[in-house]
Amino acid sequence: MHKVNLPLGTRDGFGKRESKKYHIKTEIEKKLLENNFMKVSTPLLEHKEVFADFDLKQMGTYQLLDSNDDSLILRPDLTLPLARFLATNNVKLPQRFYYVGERFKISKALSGKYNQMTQAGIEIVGYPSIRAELECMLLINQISTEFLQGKVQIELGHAQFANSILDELTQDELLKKQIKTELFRKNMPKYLAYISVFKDRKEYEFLEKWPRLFGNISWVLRKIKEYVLPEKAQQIINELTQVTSWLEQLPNQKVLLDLSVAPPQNYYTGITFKGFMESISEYVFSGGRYDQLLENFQEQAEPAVGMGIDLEILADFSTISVQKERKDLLYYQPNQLGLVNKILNEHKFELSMEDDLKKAFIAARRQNTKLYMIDEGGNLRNVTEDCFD
Amino acid sequence: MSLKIALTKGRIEEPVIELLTAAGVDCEPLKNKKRKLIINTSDGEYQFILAKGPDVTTYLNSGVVDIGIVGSDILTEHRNEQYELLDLGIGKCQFVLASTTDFEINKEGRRVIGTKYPLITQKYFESLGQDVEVIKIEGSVELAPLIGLADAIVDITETGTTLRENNLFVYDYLDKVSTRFVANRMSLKQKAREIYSLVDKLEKVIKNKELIK
Repeated sequence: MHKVNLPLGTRDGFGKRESKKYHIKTEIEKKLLENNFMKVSTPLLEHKEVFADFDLKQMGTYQLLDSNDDSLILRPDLTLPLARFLATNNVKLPQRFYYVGERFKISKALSGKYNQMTQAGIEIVGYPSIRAELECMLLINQISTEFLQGKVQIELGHAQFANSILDELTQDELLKKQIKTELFRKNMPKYLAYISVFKDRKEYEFLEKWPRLFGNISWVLRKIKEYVLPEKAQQIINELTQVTSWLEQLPNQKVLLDLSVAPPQNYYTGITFKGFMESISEYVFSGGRYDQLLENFQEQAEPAVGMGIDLEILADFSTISVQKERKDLLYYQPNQLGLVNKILNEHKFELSMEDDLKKAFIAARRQNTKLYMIDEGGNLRNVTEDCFD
Repeated sequence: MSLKIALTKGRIEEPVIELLTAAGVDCEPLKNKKRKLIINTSDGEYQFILAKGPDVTTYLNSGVVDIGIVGSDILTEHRNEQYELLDLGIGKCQFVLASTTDFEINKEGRRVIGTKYPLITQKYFESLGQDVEVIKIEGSVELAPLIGLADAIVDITETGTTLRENNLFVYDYLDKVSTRFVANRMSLKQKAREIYSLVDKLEKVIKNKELIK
């Protein structure tokens, strides 16, 4: 016997879930193509260096060697390959791109998590305008409306907010990093220990409250008014407030603010946004602005906004039904193949695999569909009601 | 919407129930749980499940519970990524390096260390600039140096009684351990008010306890 068990963290796709996933993927692609997004497919394998901006140690990745003994990696992310692609293919910018593909991250073994995930995403490159962010969030709203009963909440943050506070507080880079890490991880015992050196400063009250500054926009804004923020932090708040008011024009769109959230990756530089639903313990959408990303692959930086869409969660939680009616069966003789070809151009049938009409009849009954055959004159005949007993 | 709380079975069960009761959580059903695995409070606000420590982290990570109450030893060993909101100040103990009297930490060669906590052990010896062979043991770790399986052990101890009774001596003190209140990241987003309300009540109780001391 051959080994039959799957590698840890992998699974097969089939049946209802797979067709649902395919349907959602197709609909999203259709929508993006209609909006003039350019599709980009990059290979599953990349050189390890492409992901230098990723914390590869913390994130388990599949790595292998090619014939030159170069380290290759099964891509854990699709944004960095796209940045590599843009730097090397003389593609005209500005431009809006989309991708759909597999990404691989090794989760903790035996934890019930999967290592191969299908992700879709868009990258809007070369536009400094807030319209890039708005287009992403509009897409979140549309996908939410179409597939998730409009239940997705958008959570806004900003990659520079933490720095805008900490830069005014101290010059100690290590301490800043430690505070940020524990703030983002919301490890309160450690966070409180690190900020305790500022106990006598007027900012301490804000620091103490900071990890809780997330949630309902008006609540967060009311809370934040109690403190005097550095000018840069205040600017960020104003920007986020503005964006919120625009987003609230979208149907059923609940918007939240999180001032204590980590940017999804280190390379983010501006507004960040995530989409989640009550009762799902993962984010469905995640994105933001990263204006320096391309600098790592070419000399010139480009403004860019991108967003990833988790197709696995959409497939798991979407309430749409893709169950289609079964097609009727067509029974035919091998010497009628030319006729079958003509018929299939006009009608939709599932071709019967049975070698005799009686068996075809039983099969049609079993799957509760009609049975057709081609008679000697070359015409279609419905034989569902004919008796073969 | 009730809060789902995974509580570590055993040693810390009683002091946690004491804390929760003082914080105004109706713990009577929890005290009279008999063989039930899922226990609801009568007001429907909380649902408790009792689990082994490492499983509490698994439940937390998969998002099937909102809150986990579990020791920091397990959180460190399992590389916790969920939000550690509060140190409950109970279940206090400490990691130690212990062995028999003849153990020499700086003796030539590679030490063999028995432990339930391979990650913490490895990190500790790395910080000393030493490479050791770690043997994972599931229980009665104290046995390892006594029967010659390992040169020493890294384990947690509360009072040191078990170590002493087995003629083991502490050679070094590592991190302190206590019970933590941990929230699933997404749950905190979805149920911030309920979770923080419980955190605040617990914090008050803990502060009062410290004052009385």
